[in-house]
Amino acid sequence: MSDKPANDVGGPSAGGSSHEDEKALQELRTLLFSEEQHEIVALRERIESPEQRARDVSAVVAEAIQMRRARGGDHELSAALTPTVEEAVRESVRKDSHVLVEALFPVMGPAIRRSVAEVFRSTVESFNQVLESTFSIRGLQWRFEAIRIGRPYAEVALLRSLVYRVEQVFLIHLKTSLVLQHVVDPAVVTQDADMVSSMLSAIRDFVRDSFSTQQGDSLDSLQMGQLQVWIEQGPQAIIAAVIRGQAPQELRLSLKEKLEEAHRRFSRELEEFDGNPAPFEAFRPELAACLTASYRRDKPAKSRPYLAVCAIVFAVLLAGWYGYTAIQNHKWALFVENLRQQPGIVVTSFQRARGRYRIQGLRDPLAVDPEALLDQRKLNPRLAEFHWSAFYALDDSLVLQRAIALLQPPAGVTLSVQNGVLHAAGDSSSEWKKSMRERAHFIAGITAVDDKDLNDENSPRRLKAAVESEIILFELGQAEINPRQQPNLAAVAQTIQKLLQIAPSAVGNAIVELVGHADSSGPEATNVLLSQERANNAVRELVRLGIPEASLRATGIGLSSPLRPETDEQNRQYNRSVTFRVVGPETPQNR
Amino acid sequence: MLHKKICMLGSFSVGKTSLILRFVQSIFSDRYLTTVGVKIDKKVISVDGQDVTLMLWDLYGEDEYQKIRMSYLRGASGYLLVADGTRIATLEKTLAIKEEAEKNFGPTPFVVALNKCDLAEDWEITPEREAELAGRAWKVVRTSAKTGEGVEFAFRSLIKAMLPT
Repeated sequence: MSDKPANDVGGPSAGGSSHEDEKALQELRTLLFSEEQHEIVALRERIESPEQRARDVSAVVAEAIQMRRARGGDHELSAALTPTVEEAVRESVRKDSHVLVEALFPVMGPAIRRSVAEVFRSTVESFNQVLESTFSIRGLQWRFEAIRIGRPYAEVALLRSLVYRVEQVFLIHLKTSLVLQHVVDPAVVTQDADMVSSMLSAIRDFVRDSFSTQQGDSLDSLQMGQLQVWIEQGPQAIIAAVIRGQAPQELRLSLKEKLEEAHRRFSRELEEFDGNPAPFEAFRPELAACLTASYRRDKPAKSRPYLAVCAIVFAVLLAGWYGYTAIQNHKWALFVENLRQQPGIVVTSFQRARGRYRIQGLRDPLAVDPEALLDQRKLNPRLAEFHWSAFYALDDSLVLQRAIALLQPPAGVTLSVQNGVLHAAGDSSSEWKKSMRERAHFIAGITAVDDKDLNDENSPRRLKAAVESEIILFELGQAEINPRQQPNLAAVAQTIQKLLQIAPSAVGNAIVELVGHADSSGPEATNVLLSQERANNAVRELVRLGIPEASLRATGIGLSSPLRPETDEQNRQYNRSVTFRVVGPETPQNR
Repeated sequence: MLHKKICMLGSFSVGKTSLILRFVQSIFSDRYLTTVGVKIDKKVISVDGQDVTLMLWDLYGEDEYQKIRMSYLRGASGYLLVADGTRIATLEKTLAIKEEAEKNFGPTPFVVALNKCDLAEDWEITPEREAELAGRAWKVVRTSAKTGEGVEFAFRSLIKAMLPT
């Protein structure tokens, strides 16, 4: 073959040779590469067969996922798998929800318990914080501030311990300024997100147009007091976070990442956005993850036993003061109740103000003095504040006092009042009786007068009884008038005088008989003489005092009618006496 | 629900804000118009069974002292071109604004609202002029912010023009 000229390419022989060469080459190729050729064919069939490819991938898919995770960047893997997994779960629930329920059943119980425990723990923690802040100076400051601005204490406490809180996050379509998605902290009250989003975009445009800025520059933050708006702009969308407080710069990085993720996942939707925000609903959890917050956590308080001691002392003092006040209040309430029971006192109000007890009502001037009652109950008079209006009470006891004060009854007259009726009893002059009848009706509370038991002390019966009740005593064995008995005799003489003055018209010719008595000592005959002598001497003395002798008669009866049994010396003394007896025509009773 | 941005364009004092007041809910003060130059309002409306949320950008009326900020028109789905029917000059001014807007942002659906139609005695726009506008296949609506005539119709017409058929 090497002897053949190089330029000889025509002729049948030459053509036949070429065919043979080709055949030879094919045979040689078959001999040398037949095994590889079979493998190539098999590989081609394998690549071109979907079933075979699926089998091949299924054999390594788990290892491939593990390798990807080991390499890092599992976020992209999750993002890629999420829609499929979500759709699969949705489809599973749609077909038969029991499958998912049974699969989740073993984990639902523990998850719920853990959630409840977490809520309980955070509640207790909040309670502790509230307790701690309530009794601290800072807590008091917050409480005053809450009162001053009229907001709940919890809100003030939360804001004052707040480092920062992301309250709202907007995902906004750059070109149209329409909201694609909006999330908001549940504790925050917001305006309409669509309008706020558009206005925010307008303001950004306004700022960019109004101030000379470089191409691509944009407003990336707004600040008003404690409130900030951080804005990150991408090619198709912007993300805006409304933040209260001072957020760390890491948050801006996080916003950028969210914005990049939104562009990556929704590049087509953003490009072709026609006003329908529905596709961006899937991005809501990512935005919600930006609603973070941070609160100041004070270092655990050092153990301060003096604070506890102070608190205990304070509590004891408080309890003591409370108890003392309660006891005092009870005492004063009893006092007022007692006042209400008093005649002539009507309590209309009782209240405690500025540590004093104010008692108001009506009081009769004759009623008991409330100050005196305070002393009886050992209550401090300086704490009392009485406000009385005077009035006339109609209680019987007060009406009686009023009657006694006005009528001034003489000795021997007793007044009483019952249901407004004035009862008078005893002996009085006819002048007083007449005056009493006239004046009684002017006394407040007296409706009638009853004086049937009131006797005239100058009536014949009274005078006769007065004379007959007198007695003149004598010494043993003596008939002479004892000088100490002179006043008695004078009084008897006066009464007899009155009796004799009214006698002609009332009792006719009255005779006063003086009866002499003697005790048992000595012989009877002597005693009769002695008693007669005593009566005679008494008559003489009365005559001397101005009584007509004709109106007197002396009789001595010795021991025939002793006044008292002589059991002792005192009784025996009574039997050495002269007694009086009015005789004559019988006088009418009750005259 | 669809969201659409609509801009109210027109000369100063043609009644754009009054038209919106009859039509929408608002949270911003009119002071925004003279400060930022725009006020945003919102209206949810149902057209042919389709609920649409309109974000209405009420732009400060252009006059000799202040021009409309064209950046506010970016992304608008439609314009409501408002002219005062009792002042023919405002129509020409509004059409000039439209030309400039289209030069910046390309063709955009619009409706021409000839406002203050309740003042018939002072009406300056001739029927021939209106016919000429309508002859351009433009939607021209007589409106009155005072009586409400034509207002709803103008917005509905604009939405129909914006929505894909």
